[in-house]
Amino acid sequence: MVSSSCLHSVLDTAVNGIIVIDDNGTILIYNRACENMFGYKSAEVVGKNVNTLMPSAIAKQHDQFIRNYLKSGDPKVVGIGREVVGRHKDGTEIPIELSVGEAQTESGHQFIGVLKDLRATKEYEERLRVLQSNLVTMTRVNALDEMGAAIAHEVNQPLTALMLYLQTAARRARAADQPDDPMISLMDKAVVEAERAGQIIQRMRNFVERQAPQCIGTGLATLIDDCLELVRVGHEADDVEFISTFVDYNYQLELDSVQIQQILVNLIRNAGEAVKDQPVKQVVVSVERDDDNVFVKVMDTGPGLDEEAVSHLFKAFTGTKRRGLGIGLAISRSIAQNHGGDLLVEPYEEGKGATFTLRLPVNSKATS
Amino acid sequence: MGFVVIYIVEDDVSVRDAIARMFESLELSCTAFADGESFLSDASPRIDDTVFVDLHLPGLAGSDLIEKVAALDEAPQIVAISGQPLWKITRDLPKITTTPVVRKPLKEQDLLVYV
Ligand SMILES: Nc1ncnc2c1ncn2[C@@H]1O[C@H](COP(=O)(O)OP(=O)(O)O)[C@@H](O)[C@H]1O
Ligand SMILES: [Mg+2]
Repeated sequence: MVSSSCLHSVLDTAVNGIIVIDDNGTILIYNRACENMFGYKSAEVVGKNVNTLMPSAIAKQHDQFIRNYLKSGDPKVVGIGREVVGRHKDGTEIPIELSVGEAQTESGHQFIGVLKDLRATKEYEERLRVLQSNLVTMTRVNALDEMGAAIAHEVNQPLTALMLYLQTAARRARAADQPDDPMISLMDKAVVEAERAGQIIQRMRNFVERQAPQCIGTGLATLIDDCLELVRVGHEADDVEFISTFVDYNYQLELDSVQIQQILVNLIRNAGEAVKDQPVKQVVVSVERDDDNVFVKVMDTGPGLDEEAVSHLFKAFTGTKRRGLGIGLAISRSIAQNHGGDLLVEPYEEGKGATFTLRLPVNSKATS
Repeated sequence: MGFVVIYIVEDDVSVRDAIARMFESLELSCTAFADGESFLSDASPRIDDTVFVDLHLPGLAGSDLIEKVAALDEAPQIVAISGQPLWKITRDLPKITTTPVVRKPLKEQDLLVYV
């Protein structure tokens, strides 16, 4: 026979909440985990009806539930377990995973409930979901912006040259001894068309121009942790280790967190891909600082990148993967540069993996 | 006091060539450079001259070059050229100077108003 004090210490050591009620719903046992979960002390609730711990809508019906079960033997929760909602002393609702067993004792029918607090899990899932959906949206928007900006910029140069050549040629044609009027008229038309193309480019640029980085103070360590978490989700199957060595959780930096997250997620994801088939599968994110810059390094144990590979790494539109969450290195670099920073890859070293370094300026704000 | 010289510092070959040809066809004396470093070592601009500087240059940044040139005694007139979005231009341009900016794509009139 186990002593009652021993039983109580077992109950109080349990991580899960444990509640025992009689067939009237009166609480007989309420362990320490429950005290943390509901905010009531054991002395406050033992002897009370268990519906004290439920939101009023359910509380009203609970006695009836017990009677129905005792009469029909048809279980709704006993022996099945389900997700239910409890109510904390302060009134907030708590998601709980509840499993219930029953026992016939000398003093009557008793129900034993084991309760797992789902708040942490729910919050965590919700946070990850929000992170992910932000990233997806921002990635789409950014990829479009960057493509627009790239086109505007690339086309701008030849168009500028074209316009000046045409105008110069037209002037020369006019200045000739015997001006060729049909020719001059053609050149004037060409100038008008070049101008039209220029206006399209300008409109496109105006569209992209609203997208200066939105910089706010952000905890760098948390941001890195979030990125690692996002990538880990996709790597549960293979045993890649994702580690951050930066634990200064007080350190704040002015940056556009979603944009920087996109860069880091891409770097960490690329690194995760690179180490997949290696004997050691490790991705380490570390941070170095000097007076003007923060350097976030993503290091892996993959095959590394030789000079040849590095030479076209940052060119636009060269990525291999069809994008889900990902943005390529070209866009990553241009985001870093929009922040007044840069994205670099460390020189190849035989036998070592790749290291990408994201440099971000410390005090100069990217926006004007 | 000799004649006025127009300087161009622009890394894009065809833009540089097109600007130079345009000024030459107007019989203006014009010298072009592909980057800020070669401009600083080879050019000696005077107060009546004009220097067109592309903001997006390899090596020495356009904005730094502008700052250096503006700091010369008898500094020439400086005009920035840029194809970048406005927020980047305002971020990059040195705050102290009031350098005019011509944005690409441009027409000859946009440059001629300065010479
Ligand atoms: N850490 C790394 N180690 C080895 N190769 C890499 C690494 N990071 C990137 N790469 C290579 O560079 C390519 C381009 O990367 P990226 O621009 O992010 O586009 P994507 O990931 O969509 O292919 C990758 O496909 C991969 O071949
Ligand atoms: Mg990638």
